[in-house]
Amino acid sequence: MPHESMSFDHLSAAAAKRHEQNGWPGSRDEAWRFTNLNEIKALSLTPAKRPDSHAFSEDKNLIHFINGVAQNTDNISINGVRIAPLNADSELTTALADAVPHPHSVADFALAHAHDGMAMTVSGQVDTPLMFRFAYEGDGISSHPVVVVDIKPGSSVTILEEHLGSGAGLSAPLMLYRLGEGAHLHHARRLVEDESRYHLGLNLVQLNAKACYHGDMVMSGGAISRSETQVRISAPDAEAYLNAVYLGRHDQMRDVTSRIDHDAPDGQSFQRIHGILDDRAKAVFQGKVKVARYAQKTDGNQMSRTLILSRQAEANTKPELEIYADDVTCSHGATIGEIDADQLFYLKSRGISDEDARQLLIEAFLVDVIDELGDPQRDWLMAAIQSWIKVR
Amino acid sequence: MPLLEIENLHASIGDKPILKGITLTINPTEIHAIMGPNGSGKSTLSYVLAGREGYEVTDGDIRLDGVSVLDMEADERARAGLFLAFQYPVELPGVGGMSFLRGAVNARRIANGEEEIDHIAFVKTVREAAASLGIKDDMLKRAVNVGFSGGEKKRYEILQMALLEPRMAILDETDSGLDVDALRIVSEGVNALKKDDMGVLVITHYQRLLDYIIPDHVHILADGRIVKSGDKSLALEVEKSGYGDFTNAA
Ligand SMILES: Nc1ncnc2c1ncn2[C@@H]1O[C@H](COP(=O)(O)OP(=O)(O)O)[C@@H](O)[C@H]1O
Ligand SMILES: [Mg+2]
Repeated sequence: MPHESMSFDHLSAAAAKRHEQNGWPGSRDEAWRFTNLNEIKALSLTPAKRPDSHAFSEDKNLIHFINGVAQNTDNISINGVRIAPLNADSELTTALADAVPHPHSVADFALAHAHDGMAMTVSGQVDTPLMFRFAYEGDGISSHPVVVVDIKPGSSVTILEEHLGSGAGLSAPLMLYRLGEGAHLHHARRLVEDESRYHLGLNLVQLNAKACYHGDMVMSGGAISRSETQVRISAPDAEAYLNAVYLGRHDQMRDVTSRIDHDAPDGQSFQRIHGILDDRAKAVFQGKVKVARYAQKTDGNQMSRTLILSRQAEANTKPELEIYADDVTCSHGATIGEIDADQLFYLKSRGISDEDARQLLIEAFLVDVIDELGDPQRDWLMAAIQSWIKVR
Repeated sequence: MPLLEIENLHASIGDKPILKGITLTINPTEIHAIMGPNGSGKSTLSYVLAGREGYEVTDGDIRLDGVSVLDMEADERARAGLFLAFQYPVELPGVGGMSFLRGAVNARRIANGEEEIDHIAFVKTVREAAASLGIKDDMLKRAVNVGFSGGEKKRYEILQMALLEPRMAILDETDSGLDVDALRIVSEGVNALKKDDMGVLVITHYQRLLDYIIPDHVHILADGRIVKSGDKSLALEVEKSGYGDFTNAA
């Protein structure tokens, strides 16, 4: 049911109420079966205060968020990009209210504690990539950036989103990317927080007719990191590409959750998820594709592959196809494997050291997904992958 | 000094003894052929020499240039100059051919205290060596062995040998899957390398290859043992009468 018009405070209060009622999910909640939140619950979190000093940045295309709050929005001057506090934009606040699933523990938590959000409107072809840098800090502090980006019909933009920082706190970002008819978004994300941190994010994407969303993510940081993406295809001929690489070691947990709602005909969604797990790391990829009865000629594709570098690591995949239309092409596949002993021996028999041979095979495992990454974000994402591999 | 000495070599896979006392000495420039029926242990011998994990040497020794290689891993043995052309070359999806070849050559060079090879010069070297083996340029751009035909894989093995310039080359059924033309090209490749003091161990099931790569010594392997050694006429004898006599003897 669309909301009439909603203020941010109202949205926040309603979310706070829901979170108070529902709390964080337990392991009996199907969507959270694999990701145990006990460690996060034990943090006894205090919401981050609004920072009083404004970080200065010369960059015209880089927005700093300190513990969730945008700092230097006044400096941003790019043709076609307009930024405002979310509470000053009732249209986008209402759009967010309509878009968030509820109850949803992450969205409700983020909305309940956010001081405000950032609203951004993109019109025309914006050639300069925009960067959102979310820096988090502080033990026991939770941060809740809320961002709504509205990409007008026919417009296009590249947005690089980086999440980094330290301290045993929780990052709970809530993002909504709304793509108008024929709009294009290249959205690259690096989740590279320190190992001490926890990250539970919700990334919402709405696609109008002929819109194209290209989402690439590298998740290599955090003790527990979960990134959930929900894409709603609400008009014909829209396309969504989700590529993700998750990397885990030690006792880390990686959770890549997606849900694609095909609510209109002729839509396409392609998901490619590659994970590498070492030591005792655990991961889950749970991907739901729901095709409504009238969403004929939908093409929904999902492939997940996991490379296990240690016998103690654990990977889970949970594909879910829910199809009500009869004329669709939907597929999913999942593989979990170790480094192949024959391949390793072949490389070593050519004089390549064990370490270099393993690195070559790890990189080879990622080639398929890396080939899918768009420019210019490929190098930026590759750097995060390389630095993870090098630490081995 | 002998190049490769195999002395009373016993080896098992798991608990299963496969090699049951092999003794063989190969001197520089010599070509030795090992022939034998399927399952006699030829590939096992090649893997044990190359240092494959899971193949346990239970007795005896393998020395390269007088130094035991038993404590060396496969990569160390390769850098010391041992090369195995695989009976079944392994596909490496996602590993680009050129970076694989360069990685292998550089690993050897660094171990020898040499500088890494110049990128452009290397591409040229590879192209030339490939052309002489009838390997198409487009194959070099693909992932290692992926989408190669059986014959192309074998040529690619010889290309690697040519680039790595080993002291001691072991060719495990390099002839299988090759037509006569390819057999000739591959053999020419091997013979061209032989002008240095490389030693060669040719493993084959058929005599055919030995018309092209002419062995100094021929050994018959049956049930993990060398049951007869001789000169190249032994290969012809086998061709005529089959392995029956030898396997009974074992
Ligand atoms: N991985 C293995 N595990 C157990 N037995 C093996 C394995 N590989 C080979 N063998 C056995 O070792 C023997 C020799 O095999 P192989 O060396 O491949 O023979 P050849 O190359 O002469 O045909 C055969 O009996 C074969 O079944
Ligand atoms: Mg064999």
